[in-house]
Amino acid sequence: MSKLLEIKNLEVHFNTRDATIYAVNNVNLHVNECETLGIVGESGSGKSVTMMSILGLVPTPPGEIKKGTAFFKGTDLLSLSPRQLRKFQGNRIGMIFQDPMTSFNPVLSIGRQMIEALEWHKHVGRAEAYERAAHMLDLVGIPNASQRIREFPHQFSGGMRQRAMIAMALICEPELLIADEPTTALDVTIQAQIVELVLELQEKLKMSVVWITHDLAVVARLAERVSVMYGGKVIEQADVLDLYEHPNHPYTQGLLASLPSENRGTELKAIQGLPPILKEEPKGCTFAKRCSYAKPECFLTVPEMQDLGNNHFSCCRLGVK
Amino acid sequence: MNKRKKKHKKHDWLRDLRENKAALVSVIVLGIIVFFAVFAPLLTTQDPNYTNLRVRLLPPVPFEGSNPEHLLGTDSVGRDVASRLIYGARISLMVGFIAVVISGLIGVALGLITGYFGGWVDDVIMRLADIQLAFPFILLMLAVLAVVGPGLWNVILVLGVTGWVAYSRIVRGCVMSLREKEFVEAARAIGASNQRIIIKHLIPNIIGPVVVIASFSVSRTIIAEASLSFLGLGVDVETATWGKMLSEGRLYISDAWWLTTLPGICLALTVLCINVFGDWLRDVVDPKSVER
Repeated sequence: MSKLLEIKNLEVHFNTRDATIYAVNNVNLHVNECETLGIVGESGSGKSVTMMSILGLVPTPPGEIKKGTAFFKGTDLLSLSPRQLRKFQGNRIGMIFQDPMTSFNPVLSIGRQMIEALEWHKHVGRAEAYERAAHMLDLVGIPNASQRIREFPHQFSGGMRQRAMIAMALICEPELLIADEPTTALDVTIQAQIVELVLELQEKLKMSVVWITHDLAVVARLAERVSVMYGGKVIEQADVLDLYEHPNHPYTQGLLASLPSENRGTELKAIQGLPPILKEEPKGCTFAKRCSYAKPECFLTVPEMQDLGNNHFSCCRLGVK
Repeated sequence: MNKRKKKHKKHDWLRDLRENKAALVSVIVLGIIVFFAVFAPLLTTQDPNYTNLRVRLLPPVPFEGSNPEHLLGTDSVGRDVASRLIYGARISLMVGFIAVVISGLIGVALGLITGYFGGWVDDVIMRLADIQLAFPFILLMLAVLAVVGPGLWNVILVLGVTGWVAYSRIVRGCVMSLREKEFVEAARAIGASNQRIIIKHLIPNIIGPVVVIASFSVSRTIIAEASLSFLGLGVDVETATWGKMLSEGRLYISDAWWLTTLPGICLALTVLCINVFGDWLRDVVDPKSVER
């Protein structure tokens, strides 16, 4: 399998007035063709910033991409000028946002917004663009698409808007779809529908998907590989089943243990402590403070990524089981 | 398909207008005023500047001593009030609308730039706005017009150029909140440039408030022109304007009420109608209020 996107040694900092936030530290990731990669982690773990930085969506300043490369089919996205990058945005890389309520411009019709990318990237005429947009809306399961395309965002329900958002991201048939917590703002039923929809579309359009979420259940359903992020780093990466059955990193173990189990009445196990505020360059393992296995050296040196074989990588030097 | 949509929309506007009685009345009144202003030479029998001291200070028609040749009476030098009012409408409307277009363009452009990009440009332009706001409006007008000299186009230009602050303040505020919205990020994610985001996404969003400010500014500008004419620095001496009629009639306010009352009513009516109309227009440009 060839790699569609390969991020190497990515470092993103935010320079605020009183401190530099080390949001993403030395992240290595790759996405294979036609594969779904799930990126999980709690809020502030750097998962959104990682993906947004490769699309040039990190506001600079205060953000700063310190170093790293992100090769997308042989082009380093991070080295492109904004103008060059625009040829990728929305065209070869589509993005779905978290909140379908605010991701549409309230004063433009849904169709008007959907065709924007088509007109821009593919130089398609207005009439044909509307036709393709209607087809796309139909594909994501919005009934009566050719009429609804004239409507405004407030006339769509939340689930429909998220579907329209997906349709908009896919209209140029991108090779990579980045979904940034697309189901967080939706209720569970709609969430399941959206997950199924994306899987179905992925099959149809032969694209890769990066699904950013903190919902392990969703990842289990749709991802083939999972990267777990913590404190601005990828701390474990494995095939989805492998990860769920043999989590190596204590943080991943903690995450999985904190899932509600089927036995009612048992208390939820939370990971002790709070996620770090990344105000200084991490010295040791970012998780060491909360880790029950931590040894003195965990606080002193940054652990290396360990290859556990079978496509399983972990950033814990202890190799605990 | 596209054609049908347009037709559909037009129909909605008309229906909306019919339902909103106040707006309907104001549109009709404005229409009449504009009609009179445009066809002034055809609708008046008297030269607005023809003086005839023998018929000075005639009252309007139903009153004692009136002359049917001068429906709305005459002023202190015997000029026909009706034709002066009609020609005055030309000046008022022209000044009002052209100056508002000028200040609107400047103000919206500066508001978009300052709100969207921020930084030192924002600082410089907003401090300029502060300075202008801190300076008494009439004093500023008088100073500028004293330098460039009175005249219709000078008045329009001065009123136009100095009226931008209200627009840029409001637009800047709107844009600062809009640019943080997710749809702007979404637009960026599909490869839209700043220019494109501003034109395609931000401008449609600020039309509502801009229309409202514009309608209020038209009335404000008409009044400003009247004030300047009242103070003798408006358009040149010859031309009839409502403001100048007010100022001339002031001397006779106890003997000849119509000289101040009639232009006053015209001014008040125009301003009121423009404001009501602007309010309705704002509702129309907001897609959320279309299907009420």
